[in-house]
Order: sequence, then C-alpha cells, then structure tokens
Amino acid sequence: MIDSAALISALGLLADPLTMLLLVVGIVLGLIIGILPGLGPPIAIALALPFTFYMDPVPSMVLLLGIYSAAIYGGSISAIAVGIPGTGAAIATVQDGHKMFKSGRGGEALGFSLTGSIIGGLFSAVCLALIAPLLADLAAKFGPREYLAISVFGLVVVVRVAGQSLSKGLLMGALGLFLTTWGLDELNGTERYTFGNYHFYEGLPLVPFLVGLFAVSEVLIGAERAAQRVDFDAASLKVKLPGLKTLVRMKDVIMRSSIIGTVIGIIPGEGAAVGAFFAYSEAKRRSKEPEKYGTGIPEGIVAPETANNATVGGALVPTLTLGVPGSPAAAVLLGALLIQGLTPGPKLFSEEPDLMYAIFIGLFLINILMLFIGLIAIRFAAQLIRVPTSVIVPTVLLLSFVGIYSVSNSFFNVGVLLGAGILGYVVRKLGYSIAPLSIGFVLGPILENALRQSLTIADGSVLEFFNTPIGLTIYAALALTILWGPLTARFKK
Amino acid sequence: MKLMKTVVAGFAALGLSAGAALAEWPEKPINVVVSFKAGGNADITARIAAETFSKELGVPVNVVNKPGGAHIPAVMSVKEAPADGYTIFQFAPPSFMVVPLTRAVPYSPMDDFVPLWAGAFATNALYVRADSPYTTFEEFLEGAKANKLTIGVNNLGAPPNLSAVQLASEFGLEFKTLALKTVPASIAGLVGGQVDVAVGQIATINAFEGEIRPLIILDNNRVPAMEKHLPGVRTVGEAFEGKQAGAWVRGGWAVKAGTPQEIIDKLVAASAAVGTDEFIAGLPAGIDWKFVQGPEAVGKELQVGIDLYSPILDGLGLLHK
Repeated sequence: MIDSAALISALGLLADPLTMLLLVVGIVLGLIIGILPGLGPPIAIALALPFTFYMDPVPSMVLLLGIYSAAIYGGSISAIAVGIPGTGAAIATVQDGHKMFKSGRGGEALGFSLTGSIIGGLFSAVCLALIAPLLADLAAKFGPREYLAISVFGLVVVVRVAGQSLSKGLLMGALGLFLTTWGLDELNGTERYTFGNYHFYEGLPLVPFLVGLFAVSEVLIGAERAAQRVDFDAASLKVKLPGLKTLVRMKDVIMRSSIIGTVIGIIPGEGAAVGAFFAYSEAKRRSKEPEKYGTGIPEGIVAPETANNATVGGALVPTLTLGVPGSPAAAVLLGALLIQGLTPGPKLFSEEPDLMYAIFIGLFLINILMLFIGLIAIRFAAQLIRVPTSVIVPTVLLLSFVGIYSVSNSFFNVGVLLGAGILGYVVRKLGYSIAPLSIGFVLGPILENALRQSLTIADGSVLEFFNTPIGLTIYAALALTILWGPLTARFKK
Repeated sequence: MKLMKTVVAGFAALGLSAGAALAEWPEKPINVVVSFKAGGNADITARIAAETFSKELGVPVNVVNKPGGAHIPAVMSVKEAPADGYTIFQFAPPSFMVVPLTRAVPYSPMDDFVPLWAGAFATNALYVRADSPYTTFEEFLEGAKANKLTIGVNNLGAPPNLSAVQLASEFGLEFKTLALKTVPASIAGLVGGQVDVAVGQIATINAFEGEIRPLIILDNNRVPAMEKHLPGVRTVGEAFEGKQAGAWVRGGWAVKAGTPQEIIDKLVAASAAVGTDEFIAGLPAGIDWKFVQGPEAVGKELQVGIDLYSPILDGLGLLHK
C-alpha cells in the first residue's frame, strides 16, 4: 500500500536544507505567536499564508504545519506561567497549570504540557498517515450528493459546539454562508451582491477574508486593551520533563486524550480548543479523584495539552482528502493549498503522493523537533509575554497588509482584509464566535455547488437525490450526534 | 527574492508617467498582466514568453498576476495604465471572448486594445471513462439519444461547455450539465463516476492516461496538435460531413489602443522569438502553440471567436446585447 517511490521522493523533498530551515522557523514562529496572549493558531497560519505564495508546496506546508503545531503548544506556556492562555486551545490548561506554577512546581507543569503536546502530536500524525489514504480512496467516489452530506454535517456540528449558544452559532454559520453567495452565480451568471462593481464578480476572496477575520479582528481587540503589566517569577521557567514512570502512570489519560483530540480534529469544523476541553472533562469524569482537578495536578495539564495537539493530525484528514477543513486553522491551511494551485480532495493523493508523504513525515518531524525547540523557547518566554500590545498590533497589521497585497496586487483584496477584520471585531464584541463564521465561509461554496449539482443529477426526483449510500451514512451519523445526548439521558432514567 | 522584485516593480510602476521618451523605448521594465493566478498554464506561458521578450528587448519583463473578478480587474488595470508599451495584457478566452460576450464590461477587446501576437492554442475533445460501454462516438450517440446523460464541463459559458452545447444542438441530444469548475476536476468527476461523459481539452488525456477514453475531437479542421495528443481520433468534421464543431481557445499579448505605432512595431517584431521552433520545443507538454503575428492577423482570429461563440451563447440566453 505504501508507494515507496513517492516515499523516497518525499524524504528527498524534506531533506532540502531550505525546507528543514522553514520547518524550524515554523516551529519558532508558532511558539512565539502561541506564547503571545491572544494570537492563536488560525492567526499564526493566516499571517504566514500569503508569504508561502512564493514557495514550493512542500516547504510551504511544512512551514505552516510547524506554525500550527507549535502555536497550539506555545499557548500553554503563557497559560501556565501567567494564567493567561496564549491561545483558545490552552484555556483548559490554565486551571491546573497555573495553580501548579504558583505552588512552585512551574518547571514540572511546563514539562507535562510539553510532553503531552508532543505525544498527542505524534499520535495524530500516525493516525493521519493511516486514515487519510483510506478516506481518500473512499472520497474518490464522492460526488455532489456525498459532498452535500458532508458539508451539512460539518456545518451542523460546528454551530452546535462553537460558542456558548446554539442560536449564536447558527447565526454566525449562516452569516458565513451568506457571504459566500456574493459574486456571480456560477451556474447562470446572475450577479449577486456585486453592487455594480466587477471586483465582486468572483465573490469575496478566501485568503484576505480569513486573514482579516482572524488576524485583523484580533489586533483590533488587542488594541483596546491597555498595556497590562505582567508580573511573574521568571526564575521558575525551568522545565522539568516527567519521567517515564510518571508517564506510564498516566497512560490512560494520555491515550484517551490522544484519541479524543484526533477524533475531534477529524470532525469537520472542530478545533484544538474543543478537543482540549473535551479531553479535560473526560479525564476528570473518569478520574477516581475528580475533585482534585483544578487544584494543580499533572493530569489536568496532560489531558488538554495532549488532546489539543492531537487535533492537528486529525484536522488534516478531512482537509486533505475532502477539501473540507477539520478546524478553523485547517480552513486557513486549505487556503495555502489553493494558493499553490492544488485542489485538496481525493485526487491530491494520486496526483501528489510525495507531497502527502512529506506532510505526514513532516508533521512527525515537527513534533520531535518541537521537544528541543520548546525546551529552549521556554527560557525566552518571559521576554515574549512582556511584549507590549503597542508592538504586537502594528506588526501584525503590517504583516497582513503586505502579505495580502503582494499576492494579489489588488487593493480590493486589502479592502476585503480590512472589511473582514472589522466584521470579525464587531461580531466578537457582540459576544459571537468567529469560528462558525469562518467554517461557514469555507463550506459555503462547497455546499452550494454540491446542492445545485445534486439537484441537476436528481432531475426532480427526491429518491434520486438521496440515492447515495455514503451520503445516507453521513446523514445517519449526523442524526446520531444530535440525538446521542437526549437518547442516553432518556435511557439512564 | 520574487517578493522584492514585485515590490520594486510596483514602486517603479507607481513612479512612471505617460510621457516616456519614444525613441529609447524600452528603457525600463515592462509588466505583463496575467488574469490567472500563478502556477497555472496561463501563468507558465506568460513567464516563458516574458523571458524571451526580455532577451529580445533588453529590459526585464515581469509577470504580474491579477486573478479574480471574472478577469475584469486585470483587463482594467491595463486599460487604465498609460498607453506607453510598458504594460501588456495577456489575453485568454475568458478575458477577451466569453466575459465581454456575456456581460456588460467596461472595456472592448477589439476597440480598447491592439493585439500583438497569439500563441497558446487548445481545442476540446469528448471523453468517457476507460470502462465505459461506449467505445465509439456512434455508440455514444445511440446511448445519448436513449438516455439523458450527465455531461461534465468546467464552467458554464466556457469553451468546453460551449463545445458541449454545440454538440447537443448539431446531433439533437439533451444532457444534464454539471459544471465542475476546472477541466481536471470535470475529468476527475468522470473517472469518479459523477458524470457519464466530459469535455476536456485534447491535451487533457496526458494527465489521465488509461483512465479515460477519447471519443471524438470537438472541432472540424485537423491540426498537428490533435495527432500529437489523440492519434487516430477523428474530428466531428471528419466523421460527419456538414456537422459544425469548433472551439476558440487562444492566448497571446495585447497593448492598450493608442500605444505609439513605433512601440507596437517593436513589440510585434520581438514576438517573432516566441514563434520559433526552438521556443515551442521549450514549452511544457500540456501547452499547444499556433503562432500568429501582428495586430491584423490576431484581430481576425478574435473575430473568428466572436462569430463562433455569439450564436451559441445567444442560444443559451447568455449573450449580452
């Protein structure tokens, strides 16, 4: 089953000095952005995305995956050291991590988060390499009706979990969908929301929109915050890696969190934050001493940190095989593939096997290297956490502008970047989440095309519309995820 | 590096004014605007041609990609630039044919531009899966008359779709049309079983060898490229005398109307270098070339396209009047 020629060529591509350098650069950048409070993985990838335009596919993917993985891990450092999560993915780590830090066990806590992150990342990289080719074989049979089912699934799941309320999630998902209807109707050429301006003919461009939504909106929110002085004892930033014995003792938590993270990652739309919360609550629920969670115990760090890094490999599964992003960060990653002229989907495996192998092996390498780079980076974390907002905000804005303009040579796209940034800012100020908005925006075109093509195929017949075993399986799985909670609740009574 | 170049070129473009001295043209870098994103066939051809022109003219020739907006922003950026020969447009079927024919655009390819040369050439072919029950075009015709088959094309209104429409009207067939966005995607849809037949270009076969079977070339007149990609496959005109088939898939360069004649002459003269056998041999395998030089000859080709597609688009109700 393993294509050895492609494997060798993938190793050759990865062995390129520039690629290896970018891999390290990606990890370092990811760590920096992850440590900086507020800037999470989607922003980190979004900022680097336009610059990958000038690279080959393998180096660009390696760079972005390095950023993705390291940003998720980096968030835990500030979560532990100052109690401010560097990223959403690290929110679950704050409770036990920061408590451990305050009781003088900071080095241990940092060691647990690093080890957990690496194990989760490695586990999901292996899962990706095993599952993705199988799913790609299946996905080759995906037609419009199957894609319709999978995008409905993704949308429903993301609005259900993202944010605090179902109606808010629905509204944001719908807003994302609505924005993708802008531009020329691809089937009959009707102009939709073009405002008489031909720049809108192809709709809102994906990459500027996502970079604006994540990065610009974040710096706008960050700009409001007064420079807060962060005080902590930098001397305690000395990592103490846990011994093998300790890890063996925690093997159940590690294993379960790895699986939870990977599965949450695979489900379209779910990201690292959800994976971390889920793993934390599972670990607590199954623990013999659940009351100890939140008081500063290692399990409370290992569970979320293992799971959030495990979402990376999981999220890549649907992204690469179906072109349906597994997480908001993967949605941005999808943009990177499109920039390269690659269409994510089942064909990617047969057309670019070496790229696929390079991604699998690259992700593996990233997690191993992250151990060493992470150990060094923690020493500099103190300086990073103290970087004032007045430096971060202009830097991120400038990077977004330069990146977007250099790819498209278009001021319209810079306008979209700003517009999406303001939209994201307003939406977040009103207490809504931008995650379902971004997923809706990415899934919108897939959904519309799939729906209208399915209608063409069905030619007026409802039976023909649902005459798809794969699609029906997906709808059944969707029904199960919705009804699971209520059903089990009823049976327990 | 490339980023630097783009940035520098951008500043250079901002700084220039219309009144460049004619005698020394060209005395600074020339920009070629491509309405497709980097990496595709259109971009590759532009870069190879730019390199050749750079050697001929002695100044850097830079490719600027301006994708999006139904190709209109790219065209407009050239129309709004000074007519001084430093901004060239690389035209293609959407920018110079399908889009102006189907909607109100703020430019006219024939009036606002002077075409210099045309090179890239393609024509369409009808494909089925390798294991399809239709082994010949005649069997396909019978099958298509008995059942309404699903046909895969890239975009509605694009040349493959127009070839399909022409085929349907010439032979009295009816299809369910699925637009799958790109030619490779529509062929992938064919291989994956989402459509029964698909229209691709004659060179498309190279990427799907063994997975698909060509039935017929959707054109009338035979050209060497057909024999190169699809040896032994008939054209519609050869198989059925009197039946019409054709496609207009051409690419080349144009400058803004009003560009001084001396500059046009210099550019046309330099274009001879992209018509040599040596240049053609250096092109990627998937790109076919039919070199035509000079405003008059290329203008005639554009008119052929307009005459071919206007009635078909009109029949679809897509023609902009």
